[in-house]
This record gives sequence, C-alpha cells and structure tokens, in this order.
Amino acid sequence: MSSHQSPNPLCKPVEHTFSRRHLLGAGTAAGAIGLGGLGGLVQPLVAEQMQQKEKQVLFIWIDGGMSQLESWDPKPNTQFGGPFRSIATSIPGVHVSELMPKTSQIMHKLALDRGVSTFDNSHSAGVPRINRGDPKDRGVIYPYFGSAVANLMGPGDSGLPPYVWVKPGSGGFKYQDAGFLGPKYGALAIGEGEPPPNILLPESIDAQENDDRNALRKFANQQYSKTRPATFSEAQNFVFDTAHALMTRKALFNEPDPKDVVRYGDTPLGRDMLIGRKMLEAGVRFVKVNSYGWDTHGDNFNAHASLMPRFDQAFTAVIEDLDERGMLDHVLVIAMSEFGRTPRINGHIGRDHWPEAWSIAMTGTGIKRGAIIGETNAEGTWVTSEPHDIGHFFHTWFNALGIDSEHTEYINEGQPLPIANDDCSPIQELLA
Amino acid sequence: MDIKYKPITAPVADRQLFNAKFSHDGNMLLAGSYQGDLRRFDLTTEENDELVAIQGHHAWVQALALHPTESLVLSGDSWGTLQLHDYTQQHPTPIWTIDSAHDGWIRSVAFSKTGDWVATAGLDQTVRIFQTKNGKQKYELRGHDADVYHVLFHPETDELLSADALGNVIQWDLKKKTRARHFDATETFLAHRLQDVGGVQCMTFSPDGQTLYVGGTRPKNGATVQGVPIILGFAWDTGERTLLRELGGTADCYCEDLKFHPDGFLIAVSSGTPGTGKLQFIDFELEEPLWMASNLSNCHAIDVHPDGKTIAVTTTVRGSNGNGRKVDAEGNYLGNTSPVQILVPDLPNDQVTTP
Repeated sequence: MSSHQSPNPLCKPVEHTFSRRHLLGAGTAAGAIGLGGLGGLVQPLVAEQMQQKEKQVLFIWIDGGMSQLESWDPKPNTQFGGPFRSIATSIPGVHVSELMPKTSQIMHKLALDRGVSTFDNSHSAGVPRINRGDPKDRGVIYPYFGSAVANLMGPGDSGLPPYVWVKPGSGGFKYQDAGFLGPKYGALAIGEGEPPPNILLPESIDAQENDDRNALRKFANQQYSKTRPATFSEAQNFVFDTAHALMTRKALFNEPDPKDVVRYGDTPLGRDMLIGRKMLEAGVRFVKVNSYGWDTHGDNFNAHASLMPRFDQAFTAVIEDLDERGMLDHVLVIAMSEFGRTPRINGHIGRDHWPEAWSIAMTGTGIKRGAIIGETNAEGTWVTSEPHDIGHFFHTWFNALGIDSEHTEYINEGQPLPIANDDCSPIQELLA
Repeated sequence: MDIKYKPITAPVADRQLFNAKFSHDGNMLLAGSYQGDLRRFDLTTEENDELVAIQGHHAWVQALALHPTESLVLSGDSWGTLQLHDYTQQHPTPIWTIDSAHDGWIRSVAFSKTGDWVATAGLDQTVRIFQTKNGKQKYELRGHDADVYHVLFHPETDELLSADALGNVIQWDLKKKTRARHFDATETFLAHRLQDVGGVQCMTFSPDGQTLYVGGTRPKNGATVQGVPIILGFAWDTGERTLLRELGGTADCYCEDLKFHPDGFLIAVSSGTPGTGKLQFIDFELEEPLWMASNLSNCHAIDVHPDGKTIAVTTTVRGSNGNGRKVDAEGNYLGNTSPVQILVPDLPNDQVTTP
C-alpha cells in the first residue's frame, strides 16, 4: 500500500493577519532609486531598508526538470533508483548522487529541501506557476520571482538593471515576466554570453550629436506617451536607460579569465554562471541563469551522466566564489526546475515529469546553511515529511531577503495583493 | 526469402530487464535486471517459470555475456561489480566476484573466442581484461575520452575493439596497450546544449569477420533524445567505411543491438520515443528489410536461440510512460516491466518447433 493515499495537503490555510500599516503606496519610491523610477510599488521605508542591505539573488533555473534521483535525493539500488551510486557529503549522513562529486564537498554551505511537492506536471503550466509562486487567482497575472524582487527591492545603487537573465539563445528585453507590475519590471536577457548589440556609441557620433539625438528621442517619446498607457512609455524609457547604463559597463562582457573558464567549465552553463557572478559583483539585484535541455523523457541516465557533472562544476564554482568574496552573506542563491522526474523509468529509458516529490537547493543570505530538510519514501515516489509547495518557498525567500512576506503587499491600481500565496508560510527550518 | 515471425510467449519479471540471452542448451533465458540481479527463466515450462535469480549485484545489471562453450555467465553492474557464475546451478554462487572491477557503471562485457579472457568496458573510460578462470586483471586500457559503451572481440583473430559515447571505436594493440586502429563512428554523436548525445550503442562482426557493424543513432537533439537509427559498416582489412543504413525516422532513435542470424542476415532492433520499437531482418543487398516488426515497444536487445530460428527480443510495456502519477486501485505507484518477446518462424503448425 502506498503511503500516499490522498492529494498532498500542499499549502495549508494559516491564520494571516494583514497589517494595513504595511500596505504599500504606489509610486512613492519612484525617483529615489533612479533608473526609470523602479521600485514604484514598494513602501518607502521598506525600500530604503532593502537598499541599505543591498541583498541580491542568484536564481539558477534548470529548465525541463532535473531528476532528483540523479542529483539531490538518490535512492540507490531500489526499483526506481537508476544506475548510479550515492556518495557521502560534507554533512555526515547526507548523500547525493555520485554525479555531484564537487557539490558533495560543499554540502555544508547549502540548504536542501527534499520534500517539494507541487501541482503541475506540464511545462506550459508548471513553468509560469512555479516562477510566480503559485499565488491564488485574483484576476491578475503575478510577476515571476525576478520581477517581484526588482519591484519590491529596486535596482540598488549599481546603476544597472535590477533583473538580468543570462541564458543560451536570444537576448533582449523580456517584459513578459513582469505580469501586472508592468513591462518595466521585465528582464534584460543576455543571450549566448553576448552583450546587447550596439552597446557602444559609434565613433562617428560625438557628445554634442549624442545630446541632440537624445533630445529628439525624448520629444518623440513625449508625443508617443500622450495617446498610450503610461506603462508603455515607462518600459521604453527603462529599456533605453538600461542600454545606456550598460554602455558604461562594457567590461562586464570582457573575455573571461581562462582560469575561471577551467573552474566553471567550458560549457554554456559555465559561461553563463560566470557572467552571472560578474553581474552580481557589479551590483545587479536579481540574476537568473538558465540551463536548457533537462527534459529527459528519453535516455535520462546517459543524459544526466553528462549534464550533472557540468552543472556540478559550474554550481560549485559560483558558490565557492561567492563564499570567498563574502557575498553569500547578502546573495540568496536558489537552484531549481519546474518539477522533478518520475521514479518510473519509461521504455525510452527516460523519466517523465514528476511534481509530486522533488528537491530544491539554496544557500546564501537568510538561509540556514547545512539544513537538509524534507524526506521522500524509500523508493522516492512520495514525500513523507510535510510537503512544501512553491508558495512556501516564495515566503521563505522573501523573508531571507528581509521582506515580511505575510505583511507586505503589492498595490495594483488600488487593489492590495499579497506578494506570496496567503495559504502558505515561510519554512522556518530553512531560515537562518 | 519469405520470412514471417510471430510471438509465442513473453516472460515477464517484476522488474525491468536490459537483455535476454538463451543458454547453450536453449532451455533457459538469462536477463540482467534494473535492480541488482540476474533473472533466469525456464523455457521448458509452459509459463516460462522464473528460477532463483543470481544475486550479488547492485543497481543495473546491463552487461551480460555467456562463455562460448561452458555454462558460465559473466555479468557486470552499474556500481562496478563483475561476477562469473555457473548459470545451471539451482542456487548459483559466484565462481568469482570483483567488487570494483570498474569505478562505476560497467556497460559491456565480452568473452574472447576461446573463452579464456573477458573484456569489460565502463563509465570510468577504461577497458579491462581479466582471466576467466580466476578473475585476475591482465590489462587496463586507457585511450577513450568518454564512457566506453561497448566491447567486442574479433570472432577469428581475437583482436579487441571498444566503442565510446563520442562515437570513437578503438582497436587495441594489447602488447603495447595502445590504439592499433581507430574507426570513426562520430556520426553517432552530437553535443547538444550541455549534453553528450548518442555514441556507439552496439557492435557486431559479420560471421566471416570481414565487416564490422556499428549501431547507434544520428542524433537530432538531446533531452528527449531523437535521431535516426543507423548502422555503419567498416571493412575489417582496410578500415574503410563501406556502408550506412538508416533503420527509420527520428522517432525511432537508437539502433540498440545487432546479431547475425545463422541464415546470413543481420537482425537489428531499435528503440525510440516511448512505445516506438522495431525488429528488422536486414540483407544489405536489398534496400528494404527482409522482414520487419514495428509493433514491438522499445526493443533493447536480441538473441538467437541455438535452434537457429527462435529469437528473443527484450521490449517494454507500451504506455508505460507519462507525466504525473500512475497508481493502481490500492494506490501503489506503478513501475515498468520488460516483456521478453520470443518469436518463432510463422510456419504451418506442423513445421514449428518451439524451444
């Protein structure tokens, strides 16, 4: 008999007392932060506190679904355990897959929840729901975590965009993540490690000509804004300001130190993780680093035999670098997918989508390092501890960043909206 | 040639199986499982009764070979353990065991022509040779830059070949422990995003030893791997590639196993996206297969019975894939199994001899 007889309780209703003292006033922080007036919805006092702390986020998104059984929660020598062994880690009694030899040595610097249980088993539903923290339906499209942090915490004083997405494939400005916050809270995507095109002024244009061009641009924008929603022109101004800021920071895109390439791995993920670290060092508030190609419905085990060591190398290198620089004290690091993979092994020797029981790793500011929480049963099929849905994690991460997730709200055209699922609460065992 | 085959029985274990090999007398089927043992089926019984399994392994027992003349089975698992057993014993005990023959996953094992030596290949990028009588290691061969997927002795000369995940096939000079020759099958490999995709899945020689056949896929993408299953042929004397045969479309993916039939044609099986699998009889003189079954789900291995007619194909349950939970009426999570399809020539009843 399975130990999993009924749907997971997932988020449990909790008593939430919303303090209206913390309701936020729209637009009050604009101008104080600069760069297009970001942070417009957050209460001034909270925004100031956030600025002082200069907390940052590195969000590592493993797109398609990393197998928990070939990574964080191995079940060796069981029916669904696959071919690989588990190995000891720097935390006595805790094991991970043999495909993570480097990570195993820094386990005491990480926190891990093996009791993740979410709803959606399709990419199309799972990716946005997970990235938005599975909020209750209030008739609006909630922002992705990066946009939420960009809005709630602002860009800081780096002069750089608050939300940078480092990824394979195309770059550009990805406004879709922002949801109801408006397009200016979208992500500036750096594709294939390449800076946005035309980052520098052509040599043929001098300062006076450039000023003249900007004056013309501003005039055109004013005319454009007269007949269109303000969010349109805000976003356009933001994209321009972002590009302008990057024009002064060309060094961010210099060729990497060959020694770093060796440590991070000469792979797309190694390259992007290294760029991600540089962006954090430069002061970007929220950096998302993507790895694609983890949807291993076929040949899962040979795939993970090459995927995992490359993740292991890049992930360990960035954690060690952030730690050595003292940055883990103010950078929250999260590594996750939209779901895990089925214990059952299909005929193509693959694993399918499995939101029922998977793992999320994290470390950094506000996180209790070495906390290994959550459990699955002996075969890895179900969570046997208190299951944690993504709503719990959004509360946990906001709190790790110093944001009181249960009493902070967005104001959307007068409508107060909780920033995280109000049936969930922070996972205290993960918080420092 | 008019060939038709039909399935007659299907031994099923409670765990997935990698392969199924007939014993020398044809009365037993041996199969490596996904959970640390070697399953045995008695083909003389009506229900193909399962016998006591050979224990002592961990995790996946993917590598399996029978001694050319004696009732010995060599098996390697994904934790690196190598064992030799007399498979006829009622409760088999190992003749020898090497706990760490490789550092991790043993992908393939093979006996030499005389059976005096065994070769092994593994995830640790090495090829090793052991004495059959005592399990003592004679050689450790390094020269691959990736997981070694397959190992094979030449049927006449006992020269050793190994093939890897990057599509490189090496013929070894055992005296110097170096490469003697390289066969380029890198068409079977693709670096896609972070993933190494493909590589050589299987090899076999023509009965006269004059042609080396290499099976794999021409990969299209990683993650849910897709690709065209292919067989590459190399002339043994010159090393020149002489043949390329496609076995299907991109959904058919991997050519998983190759065996020559006593009647002279090549048997190939393929496994693709869940539910997709083909068994083909191939005469390279003809453009189309002599015969093909495309209704078998994910064919992973083949063997030919000593009668020269009966064939065992290791398959998968169709529909065993899918996202999310699949539980039975009692709420138990459902795993997968690997029916072994036993096929016999579809002749008039009075001409059929079943094993």
